[in-house]
Amino acid sequence: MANNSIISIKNLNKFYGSFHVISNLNLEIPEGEVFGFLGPNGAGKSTTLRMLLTLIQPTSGDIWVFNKNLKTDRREILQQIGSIIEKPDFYLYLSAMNNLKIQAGLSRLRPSKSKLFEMFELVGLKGREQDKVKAYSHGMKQRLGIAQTLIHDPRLIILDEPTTGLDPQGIIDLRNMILHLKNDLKKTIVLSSHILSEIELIADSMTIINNGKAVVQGKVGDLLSNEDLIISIEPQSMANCLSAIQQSAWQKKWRANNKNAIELNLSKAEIPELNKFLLEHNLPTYSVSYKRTLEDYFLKLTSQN
Amino acid sequence: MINLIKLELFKIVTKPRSYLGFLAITVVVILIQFAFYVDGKQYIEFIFQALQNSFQIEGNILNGSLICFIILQMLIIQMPLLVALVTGDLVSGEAASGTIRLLLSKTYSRGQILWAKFIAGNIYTFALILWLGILALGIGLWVFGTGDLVVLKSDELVILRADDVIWRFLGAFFVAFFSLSVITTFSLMLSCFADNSITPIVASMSVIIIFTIIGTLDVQLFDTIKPALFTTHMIIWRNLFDNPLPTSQIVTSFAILFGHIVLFLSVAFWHFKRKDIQN
Repeated sequence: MANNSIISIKNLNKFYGSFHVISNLNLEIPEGEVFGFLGPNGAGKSTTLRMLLTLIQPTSGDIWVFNKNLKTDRREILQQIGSIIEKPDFYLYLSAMNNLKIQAGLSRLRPSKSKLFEMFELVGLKGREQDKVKAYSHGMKQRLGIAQTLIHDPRLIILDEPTTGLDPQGIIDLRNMILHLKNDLKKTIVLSSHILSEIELIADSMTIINNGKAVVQGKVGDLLSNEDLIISIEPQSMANCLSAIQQSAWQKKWRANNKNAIELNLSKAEIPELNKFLLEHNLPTYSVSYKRTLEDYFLKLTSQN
Repeated sequence: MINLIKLELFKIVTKPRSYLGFLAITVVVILIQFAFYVDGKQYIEFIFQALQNSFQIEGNILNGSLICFIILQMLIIQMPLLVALVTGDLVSGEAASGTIRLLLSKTYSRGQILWAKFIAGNIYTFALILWLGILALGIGLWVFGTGDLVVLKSDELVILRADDVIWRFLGAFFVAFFSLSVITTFSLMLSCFADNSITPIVASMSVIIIFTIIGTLDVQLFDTIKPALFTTHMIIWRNLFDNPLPTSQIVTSFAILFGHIVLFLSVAFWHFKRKDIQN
């Protein structure tokens, strides 16, 4: 187990009959980071996270959390983990307050009223504590789910596809909440998501998993910097700029163009050269911007496997 | 563990479905008592018509004890259905709503969780029987008064003195609770196998109905399996009103019911501890 790892997974396997859901998975998740867990549907992300929470039993392999073995120290480990798997779960016929009390009770806690109200305030549900959860909107349920996750002040938070079903504002709120948890409350967050940009925006490290195997693991910045960027040029004259590019060596880098912009596939190091080319050919531009996307990288990796 | 049992009881108490059983018992018992209050004397005369040539009946036959006995006979068949409605949902209801993930990803072990559900389910069953006792016996004695209990069986007439009746009723209610505990455990076991609320409830009810039909059919083929069916032994509460008390028969039935509880609970534990939560 690496020194700063909060989770260490060794040779993890899960079979259902002859079907190999997880195959010799090895994973190191650093403490104090947002860790992205990426993979196409059916790759084994949820199964892995469920094994971390003892909802599914591994066929073989070891899971170490907080330097303790999950098989032998289950109680101590789960005491320090908060989680939302797929969607936050509630007793819909109960009030939000009672749901939070139950959650605390399951963690062997009896929080004071002020602590409970503090949690509602933290997630922006102040004044709605006594409402039945069935009357909550999806976004409110998600926020209550975060309160449930945090009620026992866990060191590690596991969020499986937490943005599913949220509207854009809800996604932004959740993202800000995750960053607040990491930066201000110093929590480690393991986040699985099929929205790749979500991982790109908030994760420090990530693993891409496919067919139950880890395909790649590393710092998000390092993984992305090795890849081609998508450069978008917004020229003053689209026709002149396109013509100049088509007659130059940049033609090979052309990706697409739309009404206002031309897109090229370049590495970061090539951007200054492109700027120089635009200046030398007297091609005024409104902007030259780049975006780094995991999508192509992700698709390339998962299709190879 | 106490904390976990309290949580399970809290969930049962706050669930509207839990009150259906109490409501049904209240309505049926009050309806029967009202019917006997209005028309009871004629009914009793009709029932004892054949005996009037052989016996001289004096005193208050239509008393609280007789009403309670009649209610028990009528309701005890329906009670398992009311119990299964709640206990069949204890695990599968959590699986259906997803809250099973909350429960199992916390510090309590699966064994502790199932024990808590088993105990909470039995407390609910006990409360249901207690309510039946309060209504059927308590209100019955209050409205219809006390008196000797005349129990008309298929082949004999048992007359129990008024001061010899109360302990038999208390015993009968305890035996009824023990019998229903088999249903509690059986539906809890089925609940561990299902991921929706309906299947274990309907399956429990179906098994009870099928076993009861097999028990009542006078077919030689079924004679060998009848003693092994738990429904056969669920009616031993009636033996408490025999004179003399058939002790060995009661003990045997108790042992068989206890064996069923152990068997169903063992299967439930075995499966629940290994169950992968995939939904």
